[in-house]
Amino acid sequence: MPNKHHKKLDSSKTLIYQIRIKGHLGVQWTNWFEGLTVTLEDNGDTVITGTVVDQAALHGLFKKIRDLGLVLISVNRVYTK
Amino acid sequence: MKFQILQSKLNRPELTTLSVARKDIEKKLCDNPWSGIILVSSFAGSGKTTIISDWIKRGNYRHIWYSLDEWDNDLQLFFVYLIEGIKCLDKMVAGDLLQLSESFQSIGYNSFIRSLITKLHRFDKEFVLVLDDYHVIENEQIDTFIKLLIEHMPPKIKLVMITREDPAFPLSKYRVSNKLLELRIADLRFTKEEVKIFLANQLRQVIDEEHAELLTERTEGWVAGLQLAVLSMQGMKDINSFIKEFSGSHNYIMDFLIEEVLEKQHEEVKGFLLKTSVLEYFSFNLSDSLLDEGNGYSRRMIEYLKQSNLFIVPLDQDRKWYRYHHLFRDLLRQRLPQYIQSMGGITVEELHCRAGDWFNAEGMSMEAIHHYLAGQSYDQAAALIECRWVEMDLQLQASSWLAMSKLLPESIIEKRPVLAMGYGWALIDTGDIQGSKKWLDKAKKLYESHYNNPEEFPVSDLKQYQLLPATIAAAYAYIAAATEDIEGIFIHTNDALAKTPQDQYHQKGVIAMLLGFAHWSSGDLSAAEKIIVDNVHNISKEVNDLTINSFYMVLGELYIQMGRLKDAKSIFEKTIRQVDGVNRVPSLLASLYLGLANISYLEGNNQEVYGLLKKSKEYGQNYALMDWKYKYYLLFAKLYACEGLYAMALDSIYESKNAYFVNPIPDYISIEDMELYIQMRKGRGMLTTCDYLMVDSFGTKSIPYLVEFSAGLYVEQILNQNADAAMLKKVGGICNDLIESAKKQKRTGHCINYLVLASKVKEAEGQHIARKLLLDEATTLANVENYYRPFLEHLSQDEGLKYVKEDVLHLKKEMANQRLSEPLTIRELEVLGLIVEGLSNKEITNQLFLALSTVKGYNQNIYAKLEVKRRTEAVAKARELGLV
Repeated sequence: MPNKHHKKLDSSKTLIYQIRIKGHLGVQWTNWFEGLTVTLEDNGDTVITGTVVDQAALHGLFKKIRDLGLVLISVNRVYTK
Repeated sequence: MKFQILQSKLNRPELTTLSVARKDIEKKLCDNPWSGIILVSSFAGSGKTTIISDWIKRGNYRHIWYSLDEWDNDLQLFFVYLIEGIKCLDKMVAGDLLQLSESFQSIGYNSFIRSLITKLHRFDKEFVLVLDDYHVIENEQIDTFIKLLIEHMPPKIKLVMITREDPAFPLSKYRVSNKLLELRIADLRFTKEEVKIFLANQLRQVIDEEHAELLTERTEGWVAGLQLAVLSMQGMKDINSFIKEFSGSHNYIMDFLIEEVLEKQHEEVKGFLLKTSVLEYFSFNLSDSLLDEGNGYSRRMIEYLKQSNLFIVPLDQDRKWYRYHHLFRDLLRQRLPQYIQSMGGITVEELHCRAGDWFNAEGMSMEAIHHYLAGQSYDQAAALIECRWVEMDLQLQASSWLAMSKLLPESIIEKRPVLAMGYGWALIDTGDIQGSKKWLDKAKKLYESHYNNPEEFPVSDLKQYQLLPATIAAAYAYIAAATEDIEGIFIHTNDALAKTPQDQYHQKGVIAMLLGFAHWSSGDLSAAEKIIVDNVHNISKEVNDLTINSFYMVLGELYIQMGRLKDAKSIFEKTIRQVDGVNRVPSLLASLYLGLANISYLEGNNQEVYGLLKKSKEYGQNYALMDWKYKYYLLFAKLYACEGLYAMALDSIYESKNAYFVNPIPDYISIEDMELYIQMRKGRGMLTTCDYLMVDSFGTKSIPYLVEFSAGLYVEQILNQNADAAMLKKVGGICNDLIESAKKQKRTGHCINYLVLASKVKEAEGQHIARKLLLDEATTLANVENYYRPFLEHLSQDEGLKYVKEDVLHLKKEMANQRLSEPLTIRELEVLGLIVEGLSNKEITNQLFLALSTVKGYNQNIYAKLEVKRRTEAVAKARELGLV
């Protein structure tokens, strides 16, 4: 059950993550990953990039990836200056 | 317990067989010994459930198959299903467990799961326990249960956990034990040879080596991928070029394949699949109502899906309930919003609401709550959550309830008085006293603003609405008790009692007890007695046996404190008869026998105390109230101390501290008091300056009830120091104060104690006549109730014994133990007792719920102290020395 109501965005600590997955995902996946950017790379990987509210949201994302049997290649935190 | 349960969740799902025998895996499953654990940990669609289901079917094993869903994180629901599963194997055991779960509240979670595991050990026929989709479990208490079950695995059970992720258990430790069989991604993956057989069977076509290789590589031997590929290839003439095409594509394989499969379907079938994917499981009736279609529509569609092998799984023999293969369902769900966007019509949220309505009408509230929340129908969800409060609160599940409520927007909670009150109470129960006040105040304000017109705001639990003023007052009383605000307890309990309607017996009973305890803590035992007796009288016919019997037990405790040993004894004995007669899970017996042991202790009959403690332990190791254990060891400490066995007494204090549990019955002698007492008797301990100051600080004011014991110790210490006349006069004064308030409050037992203590002061002062008068008065009182302990405690042994009617036998075993060069600890004696009974180490770990390494450690200590090398020698030596 997604909890959309208790999320409070702490703007001082914006977390941007980049998640790399094996295989290309179709366009309809942008919806599934709630507003994150889905980019298809030439090497066959898909890169999902965007802001997550907190660690709990990040783990929610991993759960989605797990539940669809996607192969996770890497997760990076992107630091903005 | 009021749960509408779906029996189908307890059926082994009959999946389409793979038509590929996987002998190597089945052999591993069969070779795993009983009492073993099988962890099937792999991603969605890798064939986990199929493998286990096939193995059970072929081996025709007795089994419990529990398919978990998100709402099974509700502790109560989880155990309801588990017990329901056990019922199919053994009705008697299930009956016992049901009773056990009803006393859940009083024995506490840890005792509950221990007793449950003990019961599982009694199964004499083998069975397999399958927990399917364990990854949905997030409730730590359920994890705790499973971990404990694995540590103490019953001999006739194989536990199978099917999961998408490894549970947070010490797996490496299990691996070492050789009882863990893991089936992981690499084990479940199809080899090229298996892929060939699979295709040959499914498509009736033989593919060549090269294409088999390509297919295996691209699907990575993934069963769901292969099945989807087969569906796509059905009726295709040139499967080789299809395989080539999709091997060359970069697309995520499932994405690619499901698109192929869906495209092949008729529009109607596609719509049915996508819309019903919001459901975890469905019946004809449910999906008809979800799709707003007439009777028979879904039956036709489901028949078609079955024939086309479209990942549909029947959940029961009668073919009433179905679910989709989970990965397939998740892929459909992922496509649903886009489908709806392009087709128009009903939204995803509306679909969830319809499902919520259907489950709600069927009385399946957990499923309904799930769908309402997913559909953002917060009002409906809030209404159901509100109605779950009372029961979950009673089952001590405030934290689960709170987690569920937190999914609601605050604005919804704020407008519902009952929900806000529940929220406040749940915060109290989870320890957030500060946070709770805000919600309780809010609920109170809402109620007061409109109490004449309940229709002004949403209320679904009308009964709780009527009780709201009382429940809130009770919450304030509880907060006062937790913050040690005695005055607050009196104010709020009286307020709550006045506001509670006459017919709310249970609630009235609980609040009255709170008031009784407040009087008790302040030393006014007669006032406490009056409240408790009236309370028991008022509610005895209206509340359940467990409640009333535990009230009787409290009354017995109170009589002990008042020195009315005969009344206490008759109440305990009567309650024991009642509990014994009707209850197969007698959770009160351990405490009741402990109560009798306390009485014998005060009567001065050490041998009887010992026997009763043994009896108490017999019950206590199976079921006991949460405050039993520390009180049990505390009495041992007293017993050993009066026999002069100080090391063992301190050892018991240590065990008592470990088992301490906060409870509302005031401890006249706390663990710390007792520890100090023992140290003093041992000649080492001294009251600290702080204790002195505390007693001194009361000066002319009377000494508070719960400080009296320390005051007594103070007097003893002064007497031990050969004090001067002025000091003796001072402590004589303290004794007089103590005697006076004990008399005033009709605490005869304490009075006898203080009279004997005062006689010692007189002795030190050389006033022999005064001494005799005090002792005579004490004797007269003591003879009424056989309350002789103070004489044994304060007078020399020879003189003390003159006052006791029966001979006091010494504790032979303990004496024998003391003669060892290094005596055994109390825990080591327990282990030794079990060794002598012939239990193996494994059995001892299960009985005492200790780790094997701990038990082995105890064994080594015991052997060393008994100076033996082997188990058999230890038994012989223990018998020879009279240790057991």
